Amino acid sequence: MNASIENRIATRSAVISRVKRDLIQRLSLSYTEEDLHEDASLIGSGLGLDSLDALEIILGIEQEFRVKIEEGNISVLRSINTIVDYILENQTHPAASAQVTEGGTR
Amino acid sequence: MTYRSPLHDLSVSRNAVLTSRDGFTAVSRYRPLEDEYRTIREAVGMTDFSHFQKFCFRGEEALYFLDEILPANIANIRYGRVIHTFLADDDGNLLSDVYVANQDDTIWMICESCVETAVIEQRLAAANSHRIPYDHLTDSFAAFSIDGPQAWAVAREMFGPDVLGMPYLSVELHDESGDGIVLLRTGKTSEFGYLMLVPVARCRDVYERLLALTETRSGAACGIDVFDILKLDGRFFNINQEGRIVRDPLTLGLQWMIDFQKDTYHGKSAIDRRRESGLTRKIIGLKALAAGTPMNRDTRIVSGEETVAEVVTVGYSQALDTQMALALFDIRYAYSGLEFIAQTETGNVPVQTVSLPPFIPRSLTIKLDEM
Repeated sequence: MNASIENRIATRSAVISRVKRDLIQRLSLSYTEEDLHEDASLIGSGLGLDSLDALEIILGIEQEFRVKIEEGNISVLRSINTIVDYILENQTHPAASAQVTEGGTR
Repeated sequence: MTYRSPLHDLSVSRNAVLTSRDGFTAVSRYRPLEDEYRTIREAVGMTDFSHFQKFCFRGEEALYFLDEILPANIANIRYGRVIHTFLADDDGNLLSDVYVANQDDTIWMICESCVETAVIEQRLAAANSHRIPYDHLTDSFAAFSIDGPQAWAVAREMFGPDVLGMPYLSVELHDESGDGIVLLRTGKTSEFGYLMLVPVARCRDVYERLLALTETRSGAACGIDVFDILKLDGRFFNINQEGRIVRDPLTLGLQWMIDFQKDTYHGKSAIDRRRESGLTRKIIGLKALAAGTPMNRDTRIVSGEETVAEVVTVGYSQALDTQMALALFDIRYAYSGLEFIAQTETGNVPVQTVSLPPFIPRSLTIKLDEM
């Protein structure tokens, strides 16, 4: 494995692990970190979380990573990977934040 | 004997292109796939899924029977709700993508399978030591879906405004006109989706009414093949693509369909063993970064001299305007945002692993409670 890929994986892997731990603890999920595929849907299908869970997740992300998720921007919560993308992007570029309103998932 | 939808003749008369597999014939498409894709991503498409295997159970005992077969917590499914799970064989390999719907005292089991109906029938019969009564309704009920950002509007016109209050994965019976339609809010495209089970005696009339409503919303009839692309770039599990090839629900990331606290379900021992051993490969999405020779199934993904993945399923995503694939990655490399090389038959194509779903579907911007 080349050094560049190794570094990027290490950075991403650390954030993924923190996000998964936070999800499992906050929502009392009966899964291990390994059970949670990073692309599984969080809201609606997949883990089937509801709007209250979504608020819990946003609170957790904001506290744990000190990034701000604008009210109503649930598109960030499409999957663990999209949460991690948002965290990595906004830790570098804090002003960036997509504006999408809450709506039906499918 | 090959299964044909009760709407087969109607579809043929509308110039449908047909496809046959796993003992059924269905509509592949009516128009070019890219047109049907746009219809569903931008408006609403109506699709005949009558080949889905449909079973009906009654009473509380039925829930316990299904709970012993399926990996989700079926015993605790609430009235009016739907659980999305799978049916596996004794080796823990996938047979069907399954919805179980608890509609009052009637339990519906709807299977989209990568095996013939007889295999599912035999599995249910062999497991039914307590002789729980059930009906196999594949021949007596049709199944249609409407999918797309305008699907809610068609459903409202057809069933009334209360239908907008249905949460995702819920079920209702609509018998106002004597149609006896079982309506499920489901969908596997990332857009709004409603699946209807309709008695065969009423299905042609219901289909034509729904299609007329669909067309008033710039929608159209679509075939089943466009769902391969919609599921791929909407990141919904596809039993007929990656499911059929990989078969292992853990490698496919379907742990969310399993209640690991349960004592028994078909394939549990094998799945538990694989879970304890840990995954060595994982399915991850990737997109082509440049035009070139398209990837195919089994295209190798490399990093330098090392093969890190093999492509499992591939399609052209209009939403991303590039070729997209799911590939089985060495677990060490199974992360989003990394660049690799796809070694296609005639040349190398740069690719990047992507977070799924890779775009924001139009339906996610619509608030049904404000309609």
